Amino acid sequence: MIDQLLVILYWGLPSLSLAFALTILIILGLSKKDNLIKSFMFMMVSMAVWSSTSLLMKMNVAPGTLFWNRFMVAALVMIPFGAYIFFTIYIRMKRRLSIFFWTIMIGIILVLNSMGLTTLTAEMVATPGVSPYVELQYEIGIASYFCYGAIFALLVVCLLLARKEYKSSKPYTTGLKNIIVALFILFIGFGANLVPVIGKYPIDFAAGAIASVYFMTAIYKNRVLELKFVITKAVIFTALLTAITIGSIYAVNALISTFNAMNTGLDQNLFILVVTFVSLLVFQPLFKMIYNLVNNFFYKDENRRNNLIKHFTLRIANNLDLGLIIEDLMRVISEVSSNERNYIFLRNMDEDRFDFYASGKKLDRVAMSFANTHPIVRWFEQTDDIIFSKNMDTHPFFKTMWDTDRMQLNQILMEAAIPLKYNSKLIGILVMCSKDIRSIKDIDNIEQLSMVCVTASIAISNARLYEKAKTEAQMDAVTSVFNYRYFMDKLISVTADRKRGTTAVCLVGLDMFTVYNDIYGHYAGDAVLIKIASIIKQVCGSYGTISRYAGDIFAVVLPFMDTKQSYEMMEKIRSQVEGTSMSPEEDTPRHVTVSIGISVFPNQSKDDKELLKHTTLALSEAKKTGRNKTVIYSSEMEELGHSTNENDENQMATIYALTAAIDAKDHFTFGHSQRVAKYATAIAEAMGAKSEEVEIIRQASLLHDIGKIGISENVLTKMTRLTTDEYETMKKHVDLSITIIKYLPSFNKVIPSVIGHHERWDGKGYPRRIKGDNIAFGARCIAISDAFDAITSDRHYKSYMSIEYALEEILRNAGSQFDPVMAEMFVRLVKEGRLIVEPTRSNQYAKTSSFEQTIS
Amino acid sequence: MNFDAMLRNKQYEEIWQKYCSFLDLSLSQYMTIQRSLLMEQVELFANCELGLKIMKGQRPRTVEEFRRMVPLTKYEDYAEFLLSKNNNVLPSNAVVWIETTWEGGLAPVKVAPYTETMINYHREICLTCFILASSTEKGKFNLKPGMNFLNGMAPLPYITGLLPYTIQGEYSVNFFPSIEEGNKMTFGQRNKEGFRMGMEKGIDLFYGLSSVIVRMGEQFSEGGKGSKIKIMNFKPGMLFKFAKAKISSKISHKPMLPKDVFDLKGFVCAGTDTAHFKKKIEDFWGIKPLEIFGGTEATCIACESWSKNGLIMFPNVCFYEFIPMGEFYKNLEDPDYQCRTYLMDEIKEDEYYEIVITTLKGGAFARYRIGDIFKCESMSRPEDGIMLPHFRYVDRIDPIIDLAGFTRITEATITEVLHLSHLHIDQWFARKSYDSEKRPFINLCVEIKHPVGEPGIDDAELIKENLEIYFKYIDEDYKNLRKMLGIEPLKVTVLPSGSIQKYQNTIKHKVSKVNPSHYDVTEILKIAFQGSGGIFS
Repeated sequence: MIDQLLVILYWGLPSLSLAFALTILIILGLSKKDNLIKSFMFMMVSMAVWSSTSLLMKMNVAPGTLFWNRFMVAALVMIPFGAYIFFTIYIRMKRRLSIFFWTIMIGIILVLNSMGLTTLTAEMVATPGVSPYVELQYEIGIASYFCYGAIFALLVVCLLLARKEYKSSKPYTTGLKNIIVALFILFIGFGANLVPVIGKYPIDFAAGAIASVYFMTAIYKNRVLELKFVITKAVIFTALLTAITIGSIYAVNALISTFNAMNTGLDQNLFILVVTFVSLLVFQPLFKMIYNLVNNFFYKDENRRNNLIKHFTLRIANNLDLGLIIEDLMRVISEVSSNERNYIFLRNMDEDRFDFYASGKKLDRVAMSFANTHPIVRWFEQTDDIIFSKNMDTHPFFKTMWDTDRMQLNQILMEAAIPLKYNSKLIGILVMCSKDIRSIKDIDNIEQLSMVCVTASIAISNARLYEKAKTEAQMDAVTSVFNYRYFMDKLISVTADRKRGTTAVCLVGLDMFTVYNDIYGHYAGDAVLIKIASIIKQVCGSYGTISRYAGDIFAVVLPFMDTKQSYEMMEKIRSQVEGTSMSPEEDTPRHVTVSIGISVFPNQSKDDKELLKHTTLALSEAKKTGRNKTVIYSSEMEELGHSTNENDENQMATIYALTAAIDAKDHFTFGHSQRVAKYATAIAEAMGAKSEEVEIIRQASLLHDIGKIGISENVLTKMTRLTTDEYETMKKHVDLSITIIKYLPSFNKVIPSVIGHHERWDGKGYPRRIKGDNIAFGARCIAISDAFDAITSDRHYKSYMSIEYALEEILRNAGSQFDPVMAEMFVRLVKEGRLIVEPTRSNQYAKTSSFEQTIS
Repeated sequence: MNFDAMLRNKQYEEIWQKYCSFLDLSLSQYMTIQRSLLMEQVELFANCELGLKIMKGQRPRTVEEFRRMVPLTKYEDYAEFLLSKNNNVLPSNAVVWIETTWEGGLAPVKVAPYTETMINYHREICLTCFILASSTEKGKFNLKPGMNFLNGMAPLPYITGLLPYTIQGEYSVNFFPSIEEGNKMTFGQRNKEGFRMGMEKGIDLFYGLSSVIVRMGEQFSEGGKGSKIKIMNFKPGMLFKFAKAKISSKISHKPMLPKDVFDLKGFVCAGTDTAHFKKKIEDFWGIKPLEIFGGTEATCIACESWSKNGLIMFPNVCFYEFIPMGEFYKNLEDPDYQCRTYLMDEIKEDEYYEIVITTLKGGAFARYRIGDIFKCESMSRPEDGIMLPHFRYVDRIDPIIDLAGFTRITEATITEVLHLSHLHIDQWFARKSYDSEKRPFINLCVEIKHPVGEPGIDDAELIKENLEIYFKYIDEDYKNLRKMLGIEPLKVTVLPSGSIQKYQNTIKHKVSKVNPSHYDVTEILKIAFQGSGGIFS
């Protein structure tokens, strides 16, 4: 029984020791190797060689016991040397001299051993009756004492080194403790060899096996070595191939044995040939199948990701919709990284910060942005390197980070940040955040993500360029707010659905802007527009959309705002404009004011057109009632019949400017146009004309002589009767008036009244010689008024006539020159005192006069 | 991952990167950090009562605007807000208030608030100091968890007392004595007990006041009188080292020095006059000490590199400005004069500057004159690969005599002592001097004018003895100077009556009472003794 046990121990312990050593080697072989792991592997290789040579020795394999014994001794020496190297690396020992010393020592031992000075003789002697138990009988040489001395000294050194490390960092070296125990066991095991009575038993191998268990515990349980497994495709492929090859050999052998046993009488060589051929036929596809299987196994995920990236690249290449590109990008990133908490920040339009744009999860939003001065932005402007959160804690570059920024990043658990760059310009930042654990291990395939980001950067950049171009088409070039077209679209969209809630529309018009432009020039005018646009933008913030509706009018659309809210906001704008100097800083302050009209949908208007009309009315009301005020639309405005002409004020300013030009040219006719306007409007009102018509007649009256600007002053101010040519020249002023007015499209309505004011009721007037009712109503009013003022005013060539005379003249020419009904009405108005008229005196006048000449 | 874990995992490169990589910054990168963090601080100031008061209600938008708008400040500007320890008026919440004595101030103590981030930075800085203290070349250091740490500094509420609490949970060391025990002891007891424990168990790290460390070395070499060390408590290793050192001392007839017994890994020292003590410390302890500089208001703001040859200021603790001496003296003569300041990238080598700090990360002080003079030794040390200015701490500003970092004597202190002594001292001035052992003392020059018919003491030694009674009475730390440091803190010189006035008549203005200029002193002594100012040279 004891003998059988001895047999088991005799063969079993070296085998066990070898199996353990090989297992550890395989585990370490599959890991990424640093110097520490390599040194440990060296120790394990020595142990494996030691165990295997022992077995070979016992099996008496050629070239013989003595050969394997010497091999075994060499391996035995290498075990403590390996342990020594391991510890020097583990504790970062810098004593190069002692390492050198031990290397030399080991070298000497190996030389002595190879010279046969350690073991003189060795042979296996079988014990009778107990097969296969054999006993090693050996004679040791003098060098073996030196050899064992060196082994023990090395083991002691290792134990001391380990103890020192263990003591210096006690709480963390449980793993090291196991290695110390393992070495101690080895020390005991080797020591047993020196006592022949014990040494004949495999105590050393028992120690080797136990030590291996401790080594495995230190590696697996205590993680003395940091293993990063890299089970490569080649390893798996080789293992499978080896298994198949061994299997095939056994199968073929079995087949041949079976064939022989059957005694079929067939030629054995032929059978072997057939089997070999069939094996080859089977083996080749089998090999291919395994190859594909392994490939598929290893590249399954990678292939999937590569496909994902490939399709993403194709999809976004032709896409200009930024939203879709980002959505696609976030989906791909989530899939590649197996992490949904990713955020994209894009550079804003002002290019001063990177704002949150999208998240990997639909409803996951973060209220943060990266200013251009943010260390992450500055980092990416200098390098393309990915930022990991752990680097931010250690790299001095990130010492510039503000606490608030750091807190925000901590709150979102930022794990890494990847730049989105196009042409070396940072256009966005991808921030990856881990769900629970702040560990980069949770984010896989970071390099693949970088590639995705590079591809996406190009698409994002193109989409942004397109978006920019699109936006610019909707923008006003001067003020950088939206333009008229955008405003109209916006108006339609906000009024499309009445259930959407209230929307206020406001028109902010500059007061007397034409005058400001005339005085300070257009550049200064543009500066005012820019400043006012910025005030509106600042006050409205993100609540409203601002557009330049017309030259000096801004439109503000305020969704979800009622009358009160919009009024308060507009008042704020108005008062800010009033209080802001529009001049450059060093100049004397210049102030402008704005008038604002407000109307609210759907409370006050049924559709976009009405909404705009009502807002215009409100603005007009603000202008007419003193300017620099905010007026909310009310239905009374329409009832009062206020002009809807949004350019009223501008028109009037133009008219006054033009009449002033005529007055400046001929002082005798100073105020003529104004007086004609007064008389003509009085006639028109008395004749029952509507207010809009009266307004047109007023404008026409003011402009009726505008053509005189083009007549020579010699003719205009001639003190004597005009010659025929001069008269013909003078008559041209009507055409000239029309030519001038044609350049002012908003005055088109006045043209009929201006062109006809020298036509006669009997058709003998000019320029078109029309008669009766064919002459425009306004023109007939102006004709009477013009003649009346000419008679009652001083001129170069005549003194003024009395009112009575003038009225008589009007009545006398009623039905021939003038509309009889109108002439009669005019006389009545004057006589009844409903129209106050006075002769107009001048300091200069000519003695000679003729009525005809006054008709000019 | 804390510092212990990083050490355990042997992440030495990461540790160096995290704590010491600021030494790799270029000056422009350094200034970028300074400017960015100053603007963060301005934002914080702009949103609190204290900040608005200091910034005169303005909101600077740039560093230049900040320097233009905010005047230089002293503690008096903050007293009303800080002494009440009112968190509501501060830029950020204070998690701890640090105290120190306020010499000649409106209150006995000055207090300074420390925010959470400031404490975090302080922790990093403490660890940086230990790393660099144990380092002799870039990237290499010698720290392990569980080291024996002799802490010879004052406990809380002084700034030095923060150390054990800030590194708790980050880096495990065995404090000698333990934090709890040490807090119950006086300064002297702590040092004695710590040293005793160190003798028994060995010391790896030492943090102390330079003057005290030197004295400890001296006492050790003299035979360690009065220490109650029990041989039985010694660890075998220490006992062996001690016995070996003792025997070789006997054989060589040389005194036994601490370096013969202790194998220190790192030595951190601080305090005024450190520059004078460093060589001695190295001789006694066998290791170059790492000098650091800090203060209650500023926190620890500078330390040396691995080569231990000049202080380098941490870029993220305070914003630094420097007043050149010319400007400093102009302001001394005319307190309303606003000194021009220079930034780190504007200073010059070999120039002396008074430092002005603005605490960052929610601290309370803006453009604050802490009252310390530095000399810019060099703008960089290319041999170490460090491209940042290196400084030498010179001393407190003139109106204060700081003796070995132990006590600060002001004009008010001396005036009160003279008043209490009734010695009929008419005119006087005092200047800090150093003895042959480079130990500091007060050199007090007095003129005696006895009232008619009233006799008095004229002998310098008797006057000194008399004055010392009152110095000890007024200043608690004064008596420890001799007791703990072996310093003779006072020397009295009697000048012929009228010498000071005579000199003042020639220069048409008054000479400073405390630390007058070297020129003034020499001229007065020439008048007094018709010779040179040898006693001050």
